[in-house]
Amino acid sequence: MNWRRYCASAEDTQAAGQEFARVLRPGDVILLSGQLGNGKTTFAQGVAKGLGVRERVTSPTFTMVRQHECVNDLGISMLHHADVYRVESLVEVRELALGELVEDGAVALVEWGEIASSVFGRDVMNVDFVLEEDEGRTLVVSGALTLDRQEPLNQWASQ
Amino acid sequence: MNILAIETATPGCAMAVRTSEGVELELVLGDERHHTEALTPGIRDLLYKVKISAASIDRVVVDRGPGLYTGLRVGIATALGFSVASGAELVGVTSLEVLAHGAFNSGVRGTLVSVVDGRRGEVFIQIFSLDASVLALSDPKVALPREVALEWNQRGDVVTFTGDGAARYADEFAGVTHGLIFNQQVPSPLAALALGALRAPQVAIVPLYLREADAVANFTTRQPPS
Repeated sequence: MNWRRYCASAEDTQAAGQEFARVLRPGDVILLSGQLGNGKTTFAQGVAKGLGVRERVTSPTFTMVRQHECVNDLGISMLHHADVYRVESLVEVRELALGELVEDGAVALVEWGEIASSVFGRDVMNVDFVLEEDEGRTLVVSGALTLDRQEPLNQWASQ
Repeated sequence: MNILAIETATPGCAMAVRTSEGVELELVLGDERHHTEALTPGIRDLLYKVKISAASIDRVVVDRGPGLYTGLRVGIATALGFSVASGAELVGVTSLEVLAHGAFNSGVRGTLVSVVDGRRGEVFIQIFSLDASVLALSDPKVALPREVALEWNQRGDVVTFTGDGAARYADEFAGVTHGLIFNQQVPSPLAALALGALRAPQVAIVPLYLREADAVANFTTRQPPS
């Protein structure tokens, strides 16, 4: 089962991210996949906005992971924004220990997360960024974590 | 021989000591996942109570997993610290066998499945036979709680599940027809100590992560920057 949302522009992608924050709960790990330029970081910036992150969110390609404090009514106090594009081996991803860090009232967004999905186990959500012919993007949400989020995801996909 | 055991494979932080005079003491701290802050002061307090110095530890037994990644790193690094500082011998045990021995020491008999929470909906499991002694019947592996429960339902055998994974997924395991749950959140550090006391010392302690141990990233979906 999956949920799809079309985004015509970067503004749309950011709005989709901002509203996606309402789907999240503490402890979630979200893997973002799609080619370079398909909107993963833009989406992450939207999610950060939706979670009440005040500071600027940039691509963590070179730092691998950045932490942002959040202020919201979702019980989420920290956003771990990771990008594993440059990793050489899964050991590096494992050493980030994101799956354990999120247990302290946090969520993790992992760009290129699908290349290391075995590190994260089954209970994740996947957001795939598919480039359309008209240069828009379709965001496709799937994964085991969606099973108990159907209502908020229906709402998210209907926007 | 003065032996110290370190147990950090689950959110609990636990340790035990046995002196050459045979005095045994253990300390099990809450499941706060604060191994970095809790382990070393805990060891200090424990050694103070049995009146031996850190330098007099001859052997360190450490749980090498599978379990909490952050916990294992702290536990193994601390064990290595003892080894470097005072030349203590090192022995690694696994969380799954320590759980089995802990259950055995508490009188559990028959078929036992040790279940350690692997996070993100997965568990680490191993099957044991607890009879005159503890015998492993399978290798440690990663599994889904529901599949483990299904498998034992189909087998129909009497089986006991133990470990923090059995507690976390009690809904699944309680549904197994002839299944029982033996409550044991933290592997017993005294059981780890007793197990490690009998083994030959090891040159290196390698963490047992089970997941993607030597895997390389799946780079096939990653395009070079354009």
